[in-house]
Amino acid sequence: MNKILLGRYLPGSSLIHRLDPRAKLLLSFYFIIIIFLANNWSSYFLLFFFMALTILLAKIKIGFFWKGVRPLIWLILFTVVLQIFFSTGGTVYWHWGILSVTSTGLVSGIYVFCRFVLIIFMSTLLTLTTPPLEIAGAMESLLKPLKKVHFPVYEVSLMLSIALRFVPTLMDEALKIMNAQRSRGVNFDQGSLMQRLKAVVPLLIPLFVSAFNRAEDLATAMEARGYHGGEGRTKYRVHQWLYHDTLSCLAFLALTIGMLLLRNW
Amino acid sequence: MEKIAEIKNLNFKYSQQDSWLFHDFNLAINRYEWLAIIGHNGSGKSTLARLIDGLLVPQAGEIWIDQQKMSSENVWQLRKKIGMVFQNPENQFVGANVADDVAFGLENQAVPYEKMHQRVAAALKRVNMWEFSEQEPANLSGGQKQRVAIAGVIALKPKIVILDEATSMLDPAGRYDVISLIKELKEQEGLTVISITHDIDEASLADRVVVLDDGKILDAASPANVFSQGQTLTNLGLDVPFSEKVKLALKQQDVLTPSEYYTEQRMVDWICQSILKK
Amino acid sequence: MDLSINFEKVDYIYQPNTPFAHQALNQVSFSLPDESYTAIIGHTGSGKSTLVQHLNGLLKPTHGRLMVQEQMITPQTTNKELSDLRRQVGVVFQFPEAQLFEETVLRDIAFAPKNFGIDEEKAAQLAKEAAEAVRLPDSVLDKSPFELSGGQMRRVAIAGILVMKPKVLVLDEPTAGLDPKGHQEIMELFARLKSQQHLTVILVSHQMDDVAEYADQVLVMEQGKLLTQQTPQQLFSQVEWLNKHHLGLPHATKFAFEIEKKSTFKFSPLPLTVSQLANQLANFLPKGVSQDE
Ligand SMILES: Nc1ncnc2c1ncn2[C@@H]1O[C@H](COP(=O)(O)OP(=O)(O)OP(=O)(O)O)[C@@H](O)[C@H]1O
Ligand SMILES: Nc1ncnc2c1ncn2[C@@H]1O[C@H](COP(=O)(O)OP(=O)(O)OP(=O)(O)O)[C@@H](O)[C@H]1O
Ligand SMILES: [Mg+2]
Ligand SMILES: [Mg+2]
Repeated sequence: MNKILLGRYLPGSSLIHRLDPRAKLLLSFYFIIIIFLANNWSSYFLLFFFMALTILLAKIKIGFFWKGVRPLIWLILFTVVLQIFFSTGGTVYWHWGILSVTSTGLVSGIYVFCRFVLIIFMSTLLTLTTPPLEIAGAMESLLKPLKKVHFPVYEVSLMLSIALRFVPTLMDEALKIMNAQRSRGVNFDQGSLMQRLKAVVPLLIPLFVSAFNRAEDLATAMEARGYHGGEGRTKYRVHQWLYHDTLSCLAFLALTIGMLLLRNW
Repeated sequence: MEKIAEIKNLNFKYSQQDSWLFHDFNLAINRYEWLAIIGHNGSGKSTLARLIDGLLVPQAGEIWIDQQKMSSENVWQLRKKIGMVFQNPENQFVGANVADDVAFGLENQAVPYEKMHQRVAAALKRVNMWEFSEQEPANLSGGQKQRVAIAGVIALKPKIVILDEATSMLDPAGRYDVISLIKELKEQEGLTVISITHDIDEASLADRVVVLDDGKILDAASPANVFSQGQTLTNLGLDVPFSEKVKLALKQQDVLTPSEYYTEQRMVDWICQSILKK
Repeated sequence: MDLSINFEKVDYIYQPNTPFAHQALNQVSFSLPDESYTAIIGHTGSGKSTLVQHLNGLLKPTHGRLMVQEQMITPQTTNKELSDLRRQVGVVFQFPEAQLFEETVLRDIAFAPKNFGIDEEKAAQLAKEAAEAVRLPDSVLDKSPFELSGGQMRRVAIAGILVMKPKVLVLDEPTAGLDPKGHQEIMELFARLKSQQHLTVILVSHQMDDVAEYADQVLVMEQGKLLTQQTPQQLFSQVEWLNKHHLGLPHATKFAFEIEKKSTFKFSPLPLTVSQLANQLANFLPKGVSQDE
């Protein structure tokens, strides 16, 4: 459970860590869109080059990013294989019924693989360098215009940030309950599918009970500290758009222009 | 003496309960007092604390805070005068990190940005947690989380602080740490402290101890007075101070022991003198 | 005497090979005889819980090995080999009521034997016996465990472990959050069970009074290392060493030191409990019945 890196934060003080979370969130999304502009080797090369540069700036070992890819490897391979077998065009190397391996298929399979890797790398980078709370805060601030249509922006973002705040707590709790039930002879990782499903009940019920108790405690604590909805609150954390945020936008602009020039039209 | 809080003829039960938990209950708390509430599990201590803070509404009776009668109109106003620290350090940590958590109450009171930052910093320095201001709760010990909770309370400058078994989930070091912090803050900030506790050493710090049993006050007196009734306390499922335990054990060996309550120090002195005399 | 437990240079590392890696046990070696009552003390984060989770194979050593009830556990041991051990070593975790989930108290207590392949009827029988052993009144057996008071829930959870008839009972701060009476009742329950069922007991505790009262030896942990293994009598007479490691004394011992400081009285041996203290003092104090009774 502890092995998944996507979604974990690695404290640091690099340039990337210090960027405004709103900038990071928007630019990460933007990067994922730009990936779909790439359609030849040189444009993919540019993307990887850009990605490597950002990782370098964040001062994080590249090894971590691979660990983020690994849990998804089957999904990626599946898509790549589909891509290879079902594309047509170019030299045909092998074929059987509607399945064929062609040069175009191989190339587009590799492209799909590259896309996956780039998307995973960028989202891993986002979470590794941004505390979950800041991501929630950034979303709130980006969603603010929705307040006009009476969307409860503040409440939703508080909910999100509390949920994120309790992820480690509940993970811990789940681990403890699993250990307690293991000690009572439950096997979570052996037996038939049916047996495994049944083994989940003694985990889930206590976990729900505990989560409800925590929620009740938390609600009481919040009320005791004067929380009465999002109206009329001030904010402790106000983000400031700084010079390096503008700079990173410019870097992305340069990337976009590069992509437009390099791709096949 | 001036009363900071007063409960008059209070009647309360939870909707699931058939009989009154508190029936015609009365209690007055003096300004600058340290009041300890002791009682076995389920005796109503936490419920009482929540009633005082207006988190629960009594079926009948009045609660007065700082000369004002609590009503649904002014409950938010009155609650600002009261800070609460709860038992479970994890479940009262609202913010995603230390500074955000301390700021939570200030944000609710719409304290302006500049002032909020000053008060968060001051409160965290006050409890010696300033270096931890960017830490997430997962990286803090239970005692440290409770100190953050206390910082969150004092940042709001309350008049009354209620501790609902705030130290019961901590190890001895964490416990000692939190209690000495409260002692210090009480003097410096001029607080009234209500501490609900099972810890007899914590209760003995109080000016007055209230013994609660199923919603009734059995006794409300100085620690010395309450603790001198060792057997009654034991029967209620409560602890007695160590000096009383020594006395009880000596009595069983037919030793002629003093009848009034002695603090531990005094008990040591008494034993030393008695040994000399013999 | 037969050895019940033997650790040989056990290391445990949480999340190895990541930046979050944390060595929680460092070269821990010790052995405990059958039917001993061992207390493990140490500051928060010193590795006590990590250590006890090795005893029924919930954690396996990163390096080194250990032997529990004839079962060897090495880094390579598979979970399959451990199923028998889980039955022989009962673990009561901190706040064990978190494990309750069944509709009735009786069914919850019978959960473990059923998992170990005992039939429904026999399991219910065992559950009734365990409920009796922890002194749960019959009237609660058909209630939902979530309707009970805190102290009763704790008893149900403990019964849910005892029902396996373990040879080794591991208790990780089993009385946290209970009121003083509940605390004492549960601690005495364990002492009684130990002598009746000839158990080996391992207790993780922060309360030196309990260590003094119940344990016959103490393991002291600090930052993942085992500092020492001694009898309470030996350990608590080394005041300076304890101070150096920020560990407390039992209340009675502290009290005895105060008396020694202020008088010429010398205790021997050093009292660890109130009754030992009173026993030694009684003959030197005036006798008679006090007036208040
Ligand atoms: N939310 C609730 N709904 C219904 N009954 C409740 C609720 N909270 C508490 N009670 C009941 O009210 C009584 C008093 O509970 P309370 O929590 O005030 O006791 P306490 O003295 O704080 O106990 P503890 O020492 O265990 O914290 C108990 O019988 C309890 O079961
Ligand atoms: N699942 C985990 N992942 C990573 N580190 C952990 C995990 N569980 C415990 N640790 C770390 O291992 C160390 C030892 O923890 P452990 O729970 O064994 O301490 P303990 O002596 O039982 O403390 P306490 O008295 O607070 O219960 C601590 O520093 C803790 O932060
Ligand atoms: Mg309570
Ligand atoms: Mg522990």
